Amino acid sequence: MENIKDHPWVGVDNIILNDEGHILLMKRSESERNFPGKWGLISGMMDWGETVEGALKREAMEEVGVEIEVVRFTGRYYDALNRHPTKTTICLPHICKISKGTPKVNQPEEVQDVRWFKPSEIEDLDMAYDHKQMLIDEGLV
Amino acid sequence: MIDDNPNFPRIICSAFIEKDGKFLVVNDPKFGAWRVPGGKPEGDERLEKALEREMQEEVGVKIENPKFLGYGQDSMYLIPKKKTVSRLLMFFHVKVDQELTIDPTEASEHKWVKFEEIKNVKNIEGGLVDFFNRNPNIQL
Repeated sequence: MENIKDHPWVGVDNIILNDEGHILLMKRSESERNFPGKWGLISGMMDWGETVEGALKREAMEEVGVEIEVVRFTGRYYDALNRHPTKTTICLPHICKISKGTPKVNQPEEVQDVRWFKPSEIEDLDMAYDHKQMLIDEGLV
Repeated sequence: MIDDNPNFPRIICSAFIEKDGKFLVVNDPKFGAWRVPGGKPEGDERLEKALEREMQEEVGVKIENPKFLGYGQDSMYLIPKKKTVSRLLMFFHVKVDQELTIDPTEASEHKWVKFEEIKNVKNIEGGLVDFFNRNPNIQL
């Protein structure tokens, strides 16, 4: 019998940029099990039957209340076993931009803050998961 | 049963296997569709390891240096289990120069085609169609 733990999960990551090249990050809530209080990308797991774009848009709306447009796939996936403390996940970061709305804390049980970061502010920032590596690999930091 | 209603798509590692300038497509009896070789990672397997294992199992070949190209999604009806599977296919490109031994349970037929012909194969898996839609200018 197959078990959920026998298959990797699929995650999507929004690298949301504005016209100035700033990156939208959210500060995870202190009650989050994984990386509480750390800044990270707007991200989440895909649902069965959902498209990648659908998941990216859903997470952006749920977490920070904005509509986004997917600009492009970064072309990289992230699957290091230790990228997530509790399960194997394949993550697909995409470059996106806001098409409507202003970022705000929309899901206070998960998010405590959200704002734009200049790349220079991220250089020394200790981030959640491997989100910093995603930004480095994209040449943004 | 947990597996009857999983809440996330199934990852498939698939390969465009190139030999002498042509690419392998196989007819999979489980779906009644043509596809490129590949399968699901098991347990904690990383994608490239899963790909190596699947290539060995399905077509009897040892692969090196797979290059990730992109992904495609589909929803395929799995005939033996009578259920629809929501899938995310991760496509890689590998070159081989050895002879292949194709597992007949995975492929009732197979053929070698030029890369640009793959998307024209009748009745190919949705994930391949989606991959080509997402990557319209890709050339190998």
